[in-house]
Amino acid sequence: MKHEDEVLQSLGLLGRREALVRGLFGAGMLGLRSLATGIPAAVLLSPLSARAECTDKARAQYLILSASEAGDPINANVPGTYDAPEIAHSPDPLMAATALSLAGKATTAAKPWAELPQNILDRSCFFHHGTLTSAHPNHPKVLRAMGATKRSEMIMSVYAKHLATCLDTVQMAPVSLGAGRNPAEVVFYEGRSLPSLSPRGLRATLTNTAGPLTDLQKLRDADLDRLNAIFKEQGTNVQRAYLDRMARSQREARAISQQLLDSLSAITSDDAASQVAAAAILIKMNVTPVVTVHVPFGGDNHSDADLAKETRETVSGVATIALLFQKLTELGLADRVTFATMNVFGRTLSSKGTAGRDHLGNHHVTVMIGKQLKGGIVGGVAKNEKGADWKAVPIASATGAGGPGGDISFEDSLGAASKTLGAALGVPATVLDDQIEKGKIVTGALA
Amino acid sequence: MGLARGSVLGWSTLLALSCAAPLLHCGEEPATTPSESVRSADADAGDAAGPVNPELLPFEAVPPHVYVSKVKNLLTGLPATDEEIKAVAEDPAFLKDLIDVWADSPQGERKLTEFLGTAFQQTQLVDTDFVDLIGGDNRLPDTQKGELLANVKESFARTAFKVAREGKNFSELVRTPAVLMTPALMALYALIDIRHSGDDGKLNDKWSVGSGKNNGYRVQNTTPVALSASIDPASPNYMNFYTAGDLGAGCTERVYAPSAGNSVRLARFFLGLVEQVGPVGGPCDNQKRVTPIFTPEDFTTWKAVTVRKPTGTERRHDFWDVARLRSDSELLLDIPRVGFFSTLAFQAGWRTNSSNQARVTINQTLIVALGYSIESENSTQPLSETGLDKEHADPTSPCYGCHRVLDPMRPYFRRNLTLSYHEQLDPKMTTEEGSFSIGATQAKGTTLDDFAKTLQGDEHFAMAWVQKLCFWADSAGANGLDPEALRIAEAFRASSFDFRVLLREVLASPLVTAAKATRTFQEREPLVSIARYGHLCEALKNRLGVDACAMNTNAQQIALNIPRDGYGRGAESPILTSDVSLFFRTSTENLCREVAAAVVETPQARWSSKNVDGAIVDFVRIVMGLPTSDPRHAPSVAVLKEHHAAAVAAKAKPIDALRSTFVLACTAPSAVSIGL
Repeated sequence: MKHEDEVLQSLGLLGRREALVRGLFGAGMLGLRSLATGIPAAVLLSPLSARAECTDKARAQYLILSASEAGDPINANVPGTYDAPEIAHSPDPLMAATALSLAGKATTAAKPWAELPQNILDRSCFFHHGTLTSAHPNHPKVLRAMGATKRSEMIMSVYAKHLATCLDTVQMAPVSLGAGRNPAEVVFYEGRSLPSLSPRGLRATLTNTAGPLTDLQKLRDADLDRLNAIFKEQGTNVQRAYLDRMARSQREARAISQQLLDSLSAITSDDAASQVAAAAILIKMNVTPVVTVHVPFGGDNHSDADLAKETRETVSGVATIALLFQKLTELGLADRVTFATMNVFGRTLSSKGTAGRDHLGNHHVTVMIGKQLKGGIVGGVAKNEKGADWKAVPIASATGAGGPGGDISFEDSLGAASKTLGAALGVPATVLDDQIEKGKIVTGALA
Repeated sequence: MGLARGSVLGWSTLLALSCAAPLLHCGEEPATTPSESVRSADADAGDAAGPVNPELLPFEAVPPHVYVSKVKNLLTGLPATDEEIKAVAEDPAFLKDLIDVWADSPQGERKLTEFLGTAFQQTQLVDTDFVDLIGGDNRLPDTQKGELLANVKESFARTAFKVAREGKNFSELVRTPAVLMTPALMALYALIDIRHSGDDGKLNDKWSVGSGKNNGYRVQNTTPVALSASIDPASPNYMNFYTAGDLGAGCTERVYAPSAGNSVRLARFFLGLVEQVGPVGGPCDNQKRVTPIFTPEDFTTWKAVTVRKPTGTERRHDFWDVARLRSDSELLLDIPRVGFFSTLAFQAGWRTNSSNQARVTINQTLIVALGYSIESENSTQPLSETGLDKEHADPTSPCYGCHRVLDPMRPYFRRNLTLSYHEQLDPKMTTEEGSFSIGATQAKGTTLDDFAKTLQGDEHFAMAWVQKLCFWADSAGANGLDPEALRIAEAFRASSFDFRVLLREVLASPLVTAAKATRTFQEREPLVSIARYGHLCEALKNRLGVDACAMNTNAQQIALNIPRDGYGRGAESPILTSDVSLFFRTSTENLCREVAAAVVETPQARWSSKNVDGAIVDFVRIVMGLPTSDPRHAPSVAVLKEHHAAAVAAKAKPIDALRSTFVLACTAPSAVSIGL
């Protein structure tokens, strides 16, 4: 196995000091530069990633991405990890190995996955790859394809910038509903951290309650613009740029449709079901092209006797996905939204039996479900060189098949997963190749 | 904070200047002895060393009326006065004196206590984070109002503020055995001491084991029994607790058979919850709320408490011995407690496990104390690799980079604490010696205090706290090689780590004021930030006298979406949302609408449509934070007046016209931002 330092070097990760500076000032300092100049940061990026012309509106998909810094054991229970008998699975009958079909291809997975409606399974892609890290704090790096994205942009922000044009959303940036109280799951967009929103607070946050103060809102907006102008006239260049962004946020706020906000009133918690319900509504309102959530699938389950927590949360996690697609169907969005998962790492498959699972940067499964995905398994998993645990295998980009000889190496597999998801969302290959410097699109995964 | 220099103005003048601000509760003149502050030469503005980021706009200096307002808002949430701005404009060094006064105000205490709680990583936890500490899958027992969890979060922040205010050595907080606690919090420490869990995760409840599994008790409401008798082993009423509360129809007595879970059940009773007891479906098969044994004062009476292990015939504190907890200033427990990194808040927030083996605990401790997180790129040569986890000892392993530095430190923790942070009783774990190797600091030891002592003496401590304050004030750090940052760190060090010196030097520094260029601004621009939760809510509270973010259910819901400060696992810097978004825009607008309904034209309201002109001047001065001398004051008053007039012309009722004018002021850039 390649030494991680070599892997990190080959990925062009920044050195410690550079990383520190980036942490202090934001990736590429683009956000600050944008703030300073007042020019939208997207414009400061290469033309391909700015509000580039939408080449194919019909293919553009919204994305709901579940991301977890805990490194949940999704990889242990999905299609592709039931071929080797050494791989440990929960003994609970609720997790029994169960046959299922993915777009006509027979495979096996834990029972909850098999119980998803067939129309969902037929567009479910289980992409086996590595995340190249086994440390929780590297979650943001994984979402930056471990250094492979241009200007250290997170992949969901890469997608959002293109999709916002195609979908004509109110804002370009993603909306983060899943980070909750965990700052490690905060989403970054152009070097700036985005607010972590509470689903149960959304209605109160966005609603203009009918009444005299709402009647006077337009007048107030105009006068707030006048106050902004006073501050701009007296301000420094940096302050002027900030004020421009304030003005833009006001315009975006006024573009929010009030018609669907009542449907948020049924959301009274911040749990996963509430997050996906809120995500579906925000997409219906066309607020953003990307919403991030956190659907638990067993969490950081080192000491999980009989994999009980893994069982409980796999059952609830898959049920949450089913609920999401039910909501999307009700809202007429089932063919317009892609769901995916991307965690910091997968978990060991056999080393602790059913007593729990440790971190495994060598194997992770990104689940992608959407209209433009072909149901199936991409890549696979095999014993690693030391025979101690497991590692994702190379992938053939044309077919998605895993095994020796694949043209996508293990080291490039995270980039490949990121690009393939982007392609499934309708982001052009030229944009993806420009913005994500490692890996290839697995065309065999696309419908 | 009360650190004065030989100022041309005395304390009374300083206080007078600050007290000109609305709603400021002026305190007594600080009694602390003035000491010489550090007044080095001005920062090496525009230091030529280091590259200039070509993407940045040229630096533009921020004038006093902006940065004085910024610093006062940061420290107190209050608007600056004309006098304060004038004084600083005439003598910029005077800002440091004002900082001392502002920090010493009640508002300053609240703001700094909040900062310290976050910086010491004591606040990011919920009741379910206590399951390892309490065992048996139990969340934190608490009152209905969550007072105990609030005590847990506030304890070390209050301790740190006390140390800071008194000018004591701030680095002592790394290894202090004395922490401010309430009697209720002491009881929680004592309860967790009882709930021993080994590395194997097995619970050995000391009450259950110590009583020979004879730890039954009962709660009844028929025969009064003094609490002192209920907890006296010699009394016939031992473990017979009386409550005057209703135990339910047909239920006058609840008898709890011996159980390892009884310590938690009894703790809940002390906090006002009587748990159900069989038979299923019987009259006592329901939970009941009763008057807690702990009084409201038991959650609000703070005192310095030293935690230590009992010696000789000394008796460990029992969580139920309320009288002893109320009277004692020592807490005799088995679990060692040292400094910020072994508080319940820190341990609940950063849980470890059999795979992690306290590495997260060590790493987060390093981040707090030294601003340093172990990464695989780290090049420090460890003093010893003793203790390196065999699974990761292979230099070709991807884990080696971190483990080679972290693992030798593990024995400091593992030989003293189990994986659930209880006392380590496994003799196999007590053989290895811990070793510490970061930068120039190399040391060995066996106890948590040895580890703390090494941290305290490390060279990175001063700069770590410069950076934490910079992030709090600016939402961004300083370049660690900036001569100005280095000067402040040295001043802090030279003052024997007097936090008051650090505070005044950072907040009066161009790093925060942007009054002149420093090397940091060759790499980033001075940042203007949204006012996050701590700043916005405190400002509204202090300026308007209403707890805006908690005033009603709707406000609480809105406040959920105002960004807060926090630290992610392994992150040296806090995660701070500084930029505006549509969600921040709508949050602040809707919150301001809630506030308007409380402060305009209500019986207790300070503003009425009978005095529109006076109200509007107040809105600009107090809500927007622009005193009369601010060049933006007069044009802002004009805009607000015209808004009011236009609203009236649009047939709005006087009350609504004035409330709309208030909302306009409340959502103005200076009201919802830091640095304008």
